[in-house]
Amino acid sequence: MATAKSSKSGRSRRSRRRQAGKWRHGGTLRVAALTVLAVILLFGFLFCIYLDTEIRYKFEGRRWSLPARVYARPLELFVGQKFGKADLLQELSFLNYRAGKDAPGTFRELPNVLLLRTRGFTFWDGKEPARDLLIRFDDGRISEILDNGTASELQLLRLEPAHIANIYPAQKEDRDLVRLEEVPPLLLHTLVEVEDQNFYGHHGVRPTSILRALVANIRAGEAVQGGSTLTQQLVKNFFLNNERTFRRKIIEAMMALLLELHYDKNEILEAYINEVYLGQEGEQAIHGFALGSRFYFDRALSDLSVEQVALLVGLVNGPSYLNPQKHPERARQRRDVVLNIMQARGLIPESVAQKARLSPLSVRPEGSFAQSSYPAFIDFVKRQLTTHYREEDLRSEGLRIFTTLDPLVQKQAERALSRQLDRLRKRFKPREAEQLQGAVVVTSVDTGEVQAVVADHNPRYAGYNRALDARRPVGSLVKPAVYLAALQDSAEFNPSTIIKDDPLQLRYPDGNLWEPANYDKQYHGEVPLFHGLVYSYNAATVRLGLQIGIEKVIAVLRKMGLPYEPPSYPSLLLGSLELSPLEVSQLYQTLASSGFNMPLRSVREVLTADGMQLTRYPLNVEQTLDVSVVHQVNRMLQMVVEFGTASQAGKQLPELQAAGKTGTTDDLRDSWFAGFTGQHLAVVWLGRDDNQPAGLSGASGALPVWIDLMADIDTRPLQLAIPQNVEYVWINRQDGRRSAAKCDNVTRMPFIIGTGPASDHECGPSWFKRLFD
Amino acid sequence: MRKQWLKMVLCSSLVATLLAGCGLMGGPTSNRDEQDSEQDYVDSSDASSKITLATGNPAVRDLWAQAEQARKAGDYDNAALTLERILRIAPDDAVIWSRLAEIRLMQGNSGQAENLAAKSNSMSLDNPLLNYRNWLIIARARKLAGNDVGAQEAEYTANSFRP
Repeated sequence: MATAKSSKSGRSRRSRRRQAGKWRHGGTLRVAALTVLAVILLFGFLFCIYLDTEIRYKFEGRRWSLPARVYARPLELFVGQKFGKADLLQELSFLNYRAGKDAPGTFRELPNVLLLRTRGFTFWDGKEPARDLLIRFDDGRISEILDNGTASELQLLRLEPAHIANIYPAQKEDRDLVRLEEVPPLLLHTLVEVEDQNFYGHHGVRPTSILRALVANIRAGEAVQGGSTLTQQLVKNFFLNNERTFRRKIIEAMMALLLELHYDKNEILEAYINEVYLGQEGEQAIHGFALGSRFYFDRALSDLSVEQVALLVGLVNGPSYLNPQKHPERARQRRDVVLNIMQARGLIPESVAQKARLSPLSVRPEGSFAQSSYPAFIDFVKRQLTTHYREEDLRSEGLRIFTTLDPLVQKQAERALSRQLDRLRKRFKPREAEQLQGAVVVTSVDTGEVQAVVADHNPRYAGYNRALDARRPVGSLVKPAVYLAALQDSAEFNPSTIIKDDPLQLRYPDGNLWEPANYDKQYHGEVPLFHGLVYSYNAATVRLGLQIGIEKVIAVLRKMGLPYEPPSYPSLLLGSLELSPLEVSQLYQTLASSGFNMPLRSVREVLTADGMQLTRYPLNVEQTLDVSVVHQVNRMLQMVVEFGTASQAGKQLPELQAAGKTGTTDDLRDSWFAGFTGQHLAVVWLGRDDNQPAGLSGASGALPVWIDLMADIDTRPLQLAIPQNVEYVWINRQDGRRSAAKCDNVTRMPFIIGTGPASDHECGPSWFKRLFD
Repeated sequence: MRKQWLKMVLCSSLVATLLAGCGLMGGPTSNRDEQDSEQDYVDSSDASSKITLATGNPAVRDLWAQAEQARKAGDYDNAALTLERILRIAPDDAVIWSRLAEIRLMQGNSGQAENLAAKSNSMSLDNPLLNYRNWLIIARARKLAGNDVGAQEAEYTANSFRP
């Protein structure tokens, strides 16, 4: 019994032990299961946090990575202004206006009249409203600006500035960012109807379509079906991953849900509008509808027609497969599908849909898309800005940069340079012709604003910026500095002072001999000082420079704006100095503004994305040279154009009374001309990239570009204001002696009062006697 | 900072007197004191009221009125912005340059005040009254910059143009 008992009790102990073991075992399992679950949950939670952080980071990052928008100068129009209808039409083309009357950004042409609907614009100093205008022209001038909306006459009108560039992030990504309110409603509605009808109803994913996709995928054995909401598409675009796996899909769906948790529908839609991938050009990916619009149609988003909206929305489905440039038929079919949807959902009436289906695709041809139309100018803007901002700020803060570019002047400068280069390149063998290049810089004489920069035969080419970086010897462009230095000593020198134009030899300390010769190897003996500059005599100029001292010439150059201290060699007097066209412009700007140095500016204002003023670049002037001395030299530079080395310009554009100087370097390597009217200073350089002789003098290469340019822009004649201590004296052109208006071969020359030539030049019989001869 | 502030106040009051005396739009003032050199400028106020914009361009006149309004309201930034806008349209008018010089003086920018006034002088040929104004601005600018000798010279020159 006892045994049985004991055995029973032993059994039950065992059983209890077993039970307890079972219990223990079960507990361990449960604990293990719970732990695993907890760990999974924890990981899931952490993963969620990770996804959440990542998606928010992406979203916020993208949302704020606005590129800086860069604008040209706004065109100011006023009654009485010399400005023709053709000029205005040209400007409107820069602003992407089109013929029509139904919307802002349209115009109609009538004889002598333009009817204009402006878009309005918020400037740094206030808002210019959108207006409905009539502009009348008479004799190449604006005679009336009528605001049809208020039936009132306007004296002054400021058009919106052309949007000329965006400064983009470093990666090869391009986009024009838009705010949701800037997007045409038709495009928004079409997008939602075509891509995600229930966009405003769902929470980021559509369970039904996911299920449908899942079934389809299981049948197909791999992930194939889309069913993505706009939110999911946005997530996919953020990570730019076309991997089609369940894992990817699930992560996308989770991120979409998280995104919807944090942001409202409009924020998501705005991000989508700016993020959607729409095509590719070379290395450059085209993201966002605004850029897509510019890329495919060369138009602002707000100016798209119905069929263009349909095509753009249609492309979302497969930008490469549907690429309208490569596969126009596929694109057309897709567009028409979208048009059908638009019509079916009541977005457009049947008649409009019908008409849209009949219209051509009208997309810009492949390969002609330029990120900026003005790469050389924009390069200059960036360089000026980087002295004030960190490059990251410029690229990411959505700044609005108002520049000084005048697209009308820029266009003429580009045209003038290309035409001359085309002409000249014919002289060379094809491979050498490519080497012949040029650059042009145009500035405003009064304000130092840079209005145009051209740095290549092809102005759209964003490569070597010759206007800024090609430092070449300037040759005779340096001569005005020599004459300024001399005339500063008015006791010793005046424009008629006799100087010697004889051959000379100089021995350098290293034993080398330097024999500065005149361009035509002719010497002229004793000549009045002004001949040295007007006819660009090398020997006379070197003698004069040595007489006054090279250091004085360098001091003048520095006052003109030379950015560095040049070595003090006699060859400096003939322009061994190497400068870029922009640096030459800076020097001549000081002459053009009568001795006031003005830092050349490419930017007027920088505003933040929401219109707050960040930096102003105000007009700055500094008087560095005596006004009356500069006046004398400027008058001589006028004579250069009148009857000196640039007389070609004087003959072709006598009314401008321009002043300027030619420059030619050894073996005809560099051809320069720097000249100014009363309004514009333009510096032109031509030469070869390989620095071989181009066979061009300043007068035969660069000068014709300058003439061509000035002939085609509206510019005021140069009227030199006469300083108080200066008097004008009639002198004989040949010997510089005092003469009279009645005599032949005379010109008016400024002298500091009391320093004019004493001796008279006999001009023979008076005009009265000659009348009867 | 404090010094800067004091300078601004000093400068503003000096310029206010100057403008009251020679303001382009200003009429004669009654507070005259023959002994006080500040008041000497006031003496010329009748003559200075003849200074007008050289241009007959109504657009410029509209902008000028805007700039004046801003200046009178003490909004020098906007006044300067508008004057610079005028200079892009009508740079030949020496009066605009002179006014911009005054605004810079009000803003305490003595360097630009002096240079802009000199620029205005270089353009105003037969306009002794404007030269007079500009030399006064130069004198004030130099004083503000601590150059008393230069200021005296400028005042002397100003007086040589005094109408």
